[in-house]
Amino acid sequence: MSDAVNAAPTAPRVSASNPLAEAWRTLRRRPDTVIAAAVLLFFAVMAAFPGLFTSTSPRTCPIREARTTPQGWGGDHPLGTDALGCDVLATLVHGVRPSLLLAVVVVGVSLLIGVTLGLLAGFYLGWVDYLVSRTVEVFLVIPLLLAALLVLSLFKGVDLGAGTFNVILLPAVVLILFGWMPYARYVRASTLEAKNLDYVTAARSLGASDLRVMVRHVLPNAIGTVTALLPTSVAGVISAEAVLSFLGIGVRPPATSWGIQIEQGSQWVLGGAPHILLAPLACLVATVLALVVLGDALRDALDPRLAA
Amino acid sequence: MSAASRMRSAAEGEGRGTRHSPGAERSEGEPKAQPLLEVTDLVVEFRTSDGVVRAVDGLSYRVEAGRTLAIVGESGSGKSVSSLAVMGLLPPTARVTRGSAQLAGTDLLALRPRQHRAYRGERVAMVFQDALAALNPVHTVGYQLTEALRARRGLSRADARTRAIELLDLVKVPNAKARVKEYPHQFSGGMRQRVMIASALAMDPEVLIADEPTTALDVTVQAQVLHLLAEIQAERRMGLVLITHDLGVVAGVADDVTVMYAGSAVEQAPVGPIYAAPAHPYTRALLRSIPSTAGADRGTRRRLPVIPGRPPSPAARPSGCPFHPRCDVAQDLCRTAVPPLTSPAPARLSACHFAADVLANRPPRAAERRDDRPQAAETPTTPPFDEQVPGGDHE
Repeated sequence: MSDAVNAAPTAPRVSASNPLAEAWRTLRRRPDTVIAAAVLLFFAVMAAFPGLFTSTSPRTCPIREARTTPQGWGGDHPLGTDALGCDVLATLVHGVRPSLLLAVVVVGVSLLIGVTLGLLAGFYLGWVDYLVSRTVEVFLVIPLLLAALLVLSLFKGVDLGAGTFNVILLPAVVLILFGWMPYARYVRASTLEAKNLDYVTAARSLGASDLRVMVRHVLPNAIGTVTALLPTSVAGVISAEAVLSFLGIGVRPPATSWGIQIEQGSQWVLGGAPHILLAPLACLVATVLALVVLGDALRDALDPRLAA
Repeated sequence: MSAASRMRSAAEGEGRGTRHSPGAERSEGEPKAQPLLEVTDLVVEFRTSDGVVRAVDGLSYRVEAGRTLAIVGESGSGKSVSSLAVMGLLPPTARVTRGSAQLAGTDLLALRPRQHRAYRGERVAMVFQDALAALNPVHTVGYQLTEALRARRGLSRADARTRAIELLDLVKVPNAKARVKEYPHQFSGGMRQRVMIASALAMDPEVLIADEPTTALDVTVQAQVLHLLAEIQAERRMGLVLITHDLGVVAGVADDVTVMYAGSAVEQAPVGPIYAAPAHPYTRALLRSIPSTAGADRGTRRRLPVIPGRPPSPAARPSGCPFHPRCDVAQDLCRTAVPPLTSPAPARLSACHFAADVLANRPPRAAERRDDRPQAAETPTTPPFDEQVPGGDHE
């Protein structure tokens, strides 16, 4: 009897022994997570090896084949062609790399800037907070389009080259410049809350330095609100790039992107060729949904309080 | 330091028998031992929207190696703030405006923040009241136990793990080897408080400040945790400052008691004498308001005496003796003059004008009679279902 009582609490303890194994187990229990991971893996492979998915060049655009409806697998244009006669599938496949790269770079760098500034502002308050908060406000009131035009004129005539990173440099700069503020504000707010908690004082009572308190104790408990923002931010970046490309500072041609495709396709939705819009839109929605699901699952798996 | 102090504690370990009857030979008159931590005339002020408020007003105490000092007081009496000041962890709105805290010849309060940090955890550590809140939910217990060791002493991951298991064993957490990998929420309240204690002990501090370490726990678990603290303290000859509002807690483990009221000490004495004969009306009233089952044996029921009124807000301190509005022997003098800490008997200190009279349990000299006072003690706070109260006396 007493053996059974003693054994009961030890059973889950064994499974909790390895946090990575535990995280994986949690992930596996949820099929939606597996599907989401597969979707992202699919697009990652597409970005790395576009040749696997299409042999057509996105730059071969015979105008007489413009707006061909999708022909299904086996046809010359499985997803049809766009307004200029370019193959939709080929454009889609070759647009994955700049689109996803741009999203990752923009969200990643904005996150880094926003979290650092927000953490410093919330932790030290005083003049640091004053500086950061006023800067955030300044950037919030400048319209994105105005700033984009400014950057455009600054870089006019500068040859940025045609490398993988070079084609996304301009939109990345603009979107980062105007994308870090929400992260800073959220992190600042939750830092204000977390830094007065007992465990922060307890860490200090053991002689932890400011940096250690910030990074090890405040940040992990303040980052939660921001992680919920990330998947939607990725979608935001991809569609914002479409607007920028309209102004001529998006992904630099001849490279293509989902944003450009969506922007162009939207003009033909009612013109008898909705597939030009629907194909890239479906990819974007699939990516964002997958990110949302994965983000949720990751949070559940990594937060020890929710795992129990 | 730790090895040496453990040797000493092994040699002098027998001396601990004096715990329950301390006053006798240990601290009569001037203490011979050099105090580990000596706080002198500490004043802490808070900036508030209503102006500057004094939370701690001229507090002094000393902690010696191998002894436990209990600081007793109601909430708001400044007991926690004074310990945060010693640790250098006061919130930004608070400031130490006077006083010193000597730890082995160094005034902690005069140190720059960076220097003070070097003392925290290493020389003086702290156990917090609510262990669930004081342990970071996103780190494993093992990580939190050894974070400071790894950061300061450069312990390797493997060494840190071994040390974490040792620490958990030290505080008697069963199955330590498996439990270092768990998170705070997987521990029960008592076990969490043990983890808290273990993390404070990680770097062998000389002085441990325990701020209401058992308040959040069940009574039975309280006793276990207190016993553990006392045991570890005796073994390592640490100085232990036990902050509490529970006189029952004090009786079991403390050697000396400092009773705080409204930011300053009103009575300081070894634990035995203070229970036998309090030298301050506040201490006496506190002791009387401890429920006891003694009356049940005699078949008489009497109303539990309470202290009328409530502790003064630090922003609106009464004139004269801060306790006079609630005191059952208050005289005219008490309303005007602040009583100094005087010594009515050897090893006793009391901040009462009539300390000697209170100690002898007789009415104050200047008092004619104290007939109307028990009535005042029966203000609406007392429960209505009790039978007739035969005065307020418990003797």
